[in-house]
Amino acid sequence: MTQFQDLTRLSKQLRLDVLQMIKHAGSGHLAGSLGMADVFAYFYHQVLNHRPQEPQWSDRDYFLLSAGHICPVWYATLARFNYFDPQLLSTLRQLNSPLQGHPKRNPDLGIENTSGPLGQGISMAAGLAYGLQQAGKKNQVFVVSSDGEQQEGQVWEAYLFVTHYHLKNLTIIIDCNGIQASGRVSQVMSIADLKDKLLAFNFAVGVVDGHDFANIDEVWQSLVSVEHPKVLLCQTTPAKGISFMENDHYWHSKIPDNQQYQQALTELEGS
Amino acid sequence: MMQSMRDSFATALLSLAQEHPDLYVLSADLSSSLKLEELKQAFPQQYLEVGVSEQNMIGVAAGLAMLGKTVIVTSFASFNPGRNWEQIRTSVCEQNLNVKIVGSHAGLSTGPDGGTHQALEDLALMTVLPNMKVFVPCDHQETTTLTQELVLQSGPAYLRLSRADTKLIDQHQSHYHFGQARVIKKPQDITMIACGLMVDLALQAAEELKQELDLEVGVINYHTLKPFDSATLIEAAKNTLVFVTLEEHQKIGGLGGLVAGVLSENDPKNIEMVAVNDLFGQSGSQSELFQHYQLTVDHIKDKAIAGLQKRINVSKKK
Repeated sequence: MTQFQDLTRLSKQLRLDVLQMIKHAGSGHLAGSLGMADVFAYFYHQVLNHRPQEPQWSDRDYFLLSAGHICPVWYATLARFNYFDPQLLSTLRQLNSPLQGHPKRNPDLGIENTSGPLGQGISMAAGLAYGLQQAGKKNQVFVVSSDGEQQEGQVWEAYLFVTHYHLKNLTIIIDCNGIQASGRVSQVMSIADLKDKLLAFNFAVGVVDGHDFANIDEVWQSLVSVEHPKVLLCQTTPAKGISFMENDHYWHSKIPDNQQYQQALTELEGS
Repeated sequence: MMQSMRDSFATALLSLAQEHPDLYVLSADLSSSLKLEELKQAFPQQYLEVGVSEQNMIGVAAGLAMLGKTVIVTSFASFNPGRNWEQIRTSVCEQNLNVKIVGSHAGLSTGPDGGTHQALEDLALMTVLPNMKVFVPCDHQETTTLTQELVLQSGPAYLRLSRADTKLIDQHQSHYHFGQARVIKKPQDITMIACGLMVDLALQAAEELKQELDLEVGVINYHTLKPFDSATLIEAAKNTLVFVTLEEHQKIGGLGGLVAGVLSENDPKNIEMVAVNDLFGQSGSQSELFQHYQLTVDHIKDKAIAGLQKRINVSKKK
């Protein structure tokens, strides 16, 4: 689809950045970062009302990351949208780098919130959305969570709050990649029928193939005008784009050796 | 005349809410316990109920603070900061946001509700966090002063409130300076370092030691535990042989430990600590509980004299 050629090129770049950053840092979370590259590319490119040259523009849409461990893909996205020089990406996880192993709030770089300890970002996004809605402002608030993060109790406290106050300026993007640190989500602690649970909370819920831009776009366009708090469930493949890593929770936070790295690089470059 | 700290807090907050349209007050289903009903009626736009969800309350407060609001989050100290400590650490302190934690019903004076509801660990939990300021008023008037300070100072802060009514301990208003401990009676051989409700007991013990043994005793009110006023303590140490620390809190991690840390780095002294000694509270009246856990004037006097005795014995050996 020519319509999404730019996005395809962008997400390929994000995946290469993620792989290189994490290999260089020697630690980090590959699978989730690679899996969400297309969704990050789509929202920053197609949806967000933002000004990278004026990062704290008061009319901007807010984009927060709750599942902080996938920050490499966030940093890569911000760099490729010129929030900062992409050369900074090589400082990931280094002393005094603004690109900490888990995000540390730095709105000048587009890093809107601190996260990593799971379960807290949705509450922060809810506070932002409440304040903006009450002030009659048009800004939208987006927050990225994950299926594993749904096991945190605070997430459900936040859902009660969001729907009680009908925060229709808030969209929760959930990465459903089916894995977490110690195995498959369904086996570690099932969050079965997540869509039904969210519908019961009175969210407007969309489900997308998180690697199909046409599908993401179609579902988002149908959801965007709904006057409800929104959830977008993104079915993604962990470690998407690297055949020997895909769908294996082993790669949640493991680092490829040099040979594996070369193979991964070759696969991503050829994609 | 006895007055409620929570009434002073609520009254101060009411005028602050009027002066500062960007001030928000969050409640986790305890608005009447914190005396917030009037504020709720008068400034509904600045009042936000979050239900019984102290963890979410912190995140919501952080989000509002990102928009430039000053946000006061209220509940019992057992839950706020007891339940939501990690949220305060990550969502508030790490981001250095303008969120103020108000923990009421702290300490044994919570009384009949029992041990679960008597926070005796909150000062340890809050003083350990980078960027956090910690305020502990000793009476209703100091509560007014420190509630104003809470809003005036930027960044995270904690205000500890007791359920007990207090008499006016100290005409301190005109002497108050941010971060500066208040010397009520000037340092002597024995100097008491107290915070919260224990300031009253320190003054009573000092008075009795004067009358009974003709001992002059210093008393310093540490209404602010963080930033900790080391200078006043080091200055006091010049005239003091024995310090007695007093707090309605666990001995581990409280005021006593802060005092010991500063003195041992600067001018080591004998320190006697009056505090709850590694125990949970239980149901009872305030006076029964203070008796049971040895937060009494008699115990303070015993500690002071024992401390002085130890000091004299050490001097003799030398």
